[in-house]
Amino acid sequence: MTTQLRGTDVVIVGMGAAGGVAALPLAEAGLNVVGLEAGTWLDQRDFAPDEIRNNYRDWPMLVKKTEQERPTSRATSATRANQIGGHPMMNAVGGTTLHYWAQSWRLNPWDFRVMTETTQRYGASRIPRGSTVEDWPFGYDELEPFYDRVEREIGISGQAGNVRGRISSRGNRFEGPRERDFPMPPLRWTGFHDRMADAARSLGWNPFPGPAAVNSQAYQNRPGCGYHGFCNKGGCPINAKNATHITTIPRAVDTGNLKVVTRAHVTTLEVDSNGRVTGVNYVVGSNEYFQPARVVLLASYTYENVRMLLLSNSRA
Amino acid sequence: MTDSKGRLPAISRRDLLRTAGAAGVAALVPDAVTAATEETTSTAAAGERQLGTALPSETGPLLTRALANLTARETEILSAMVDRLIPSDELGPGALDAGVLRFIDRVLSESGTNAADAYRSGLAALDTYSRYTRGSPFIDLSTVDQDSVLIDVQIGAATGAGVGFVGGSGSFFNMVKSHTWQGMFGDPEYGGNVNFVGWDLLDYPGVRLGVSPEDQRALEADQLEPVRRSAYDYGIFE
Repeated sequence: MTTQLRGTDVVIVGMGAAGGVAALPLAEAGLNVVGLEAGTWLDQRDFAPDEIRNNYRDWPMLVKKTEQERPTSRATSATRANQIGGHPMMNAVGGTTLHYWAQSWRLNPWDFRVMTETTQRYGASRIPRGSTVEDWPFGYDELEPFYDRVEREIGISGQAGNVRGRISSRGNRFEGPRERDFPMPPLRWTGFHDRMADAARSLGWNPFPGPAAVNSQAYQNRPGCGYHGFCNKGGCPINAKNATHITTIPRAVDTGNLKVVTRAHVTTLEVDSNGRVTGVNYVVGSNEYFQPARVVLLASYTYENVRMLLLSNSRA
Repeated sequence: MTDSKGRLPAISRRDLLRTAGAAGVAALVPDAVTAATEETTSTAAAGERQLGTALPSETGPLLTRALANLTARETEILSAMVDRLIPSDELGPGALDAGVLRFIDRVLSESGTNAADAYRSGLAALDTYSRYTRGSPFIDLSTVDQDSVLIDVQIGAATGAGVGFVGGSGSFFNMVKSHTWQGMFGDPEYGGNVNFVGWDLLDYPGVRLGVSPEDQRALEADQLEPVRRSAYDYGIFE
């Protein structure tokens, strides 16, 4: 027996890096937003610096999905697909941003014109046959104001290398022009960084601190980084790592326009006879719900997004 | 013997040996393994290394106390194995001193029957392979022979009719090695790393919630005083 819920403007599937960020401008614009998340809210107490828990026991994932449904990959259609190792995905409000490394790069202007630039520089023959690579439909300059906004909403530490064309070798001199500096200075270096940077400079290179979504100083009422060293595969016990569960999602909730539903596993998209998506079906425990929505935003990462689309039938 | 969080207090080797005589450890040996007792008694020397499991009683032969999830015999083989993975030596206490057996026992309690089965079949296969190829049970081999057996097991070469490693000997080795590393070097919350001997062995500076610029400089000058406390001794993770 499926419970029919009241319709909403937008339903977001997955409250992680993408959905957690998207929720904020939507909610601020006055739209009613429902965020469906398979995991739960976690907080500082879940982020003990404990490698057995974080690195071996796959962390406080209240949903076993991440372990049991790891994606597979294969190099060619002729080889066998294997489960991918590496950094685990996460089910929780905030998603993988809870335990990400927080590296926060912008794409370079070149990346938006990869076909054009590659062809000009190396010749058309260098694009592999059958490749799906394409130029983006817009360029870096059009995206820059949004990069700028996200860097402020999330909180990024870094050293600018190109502010409106003014180049600084202390930052990445090859980056696209940014409107202004990062909202926070770069994180502290260690002796290791100093030695690596000295070695790089001696080769004529241009080392610079990478941009990170980690507070280098107090920001948005949260403290600067404690440098305790458990970021990789662990959450931040002092809320200095800027995951969406402490940045954009709470601010979206504060508008009164975002409702987050946890332990919600979306099963299918509902599609009407015109081929339009009308909402999503989901389960919480053994209870089934249909959430009607004018817009459905799939934000559960490539694998889940594709799976959701494959599982959903159009009536058109 | 446990505190409010179910943690055992740190015990020294001497304390443990003293307690053992009074504990009547023979009673802890399950009936099913009494047949193995005769072999067990011949391993007094091995027992000396097996802190926390092989406990000499004051009156009788040396008996091995079974872990909750393994028989006395299995415990004895496992004990000998982890003692070769990280032995006590001039660098400091080894895996047995760190409570690795207790750590593994808790792993088996928490992870259900599959892990216990993997240990049982692997330990039996290790012993069978030792008998077939070196002529004695694993625990009776010299440390040199134990090491050579373990190398065979590690590289997946411990094969042969009836040996019985499920899914290859290498996977059994890696499982025990991983648990031994975790019990030796992980947070003491899980029953291993007793008295922080694992962190001392690595000169690990310890778990801190904050590393100041001064701490960082001291660390790089090799002058940082190590912190020896479990992550869970910081109030916010209670």
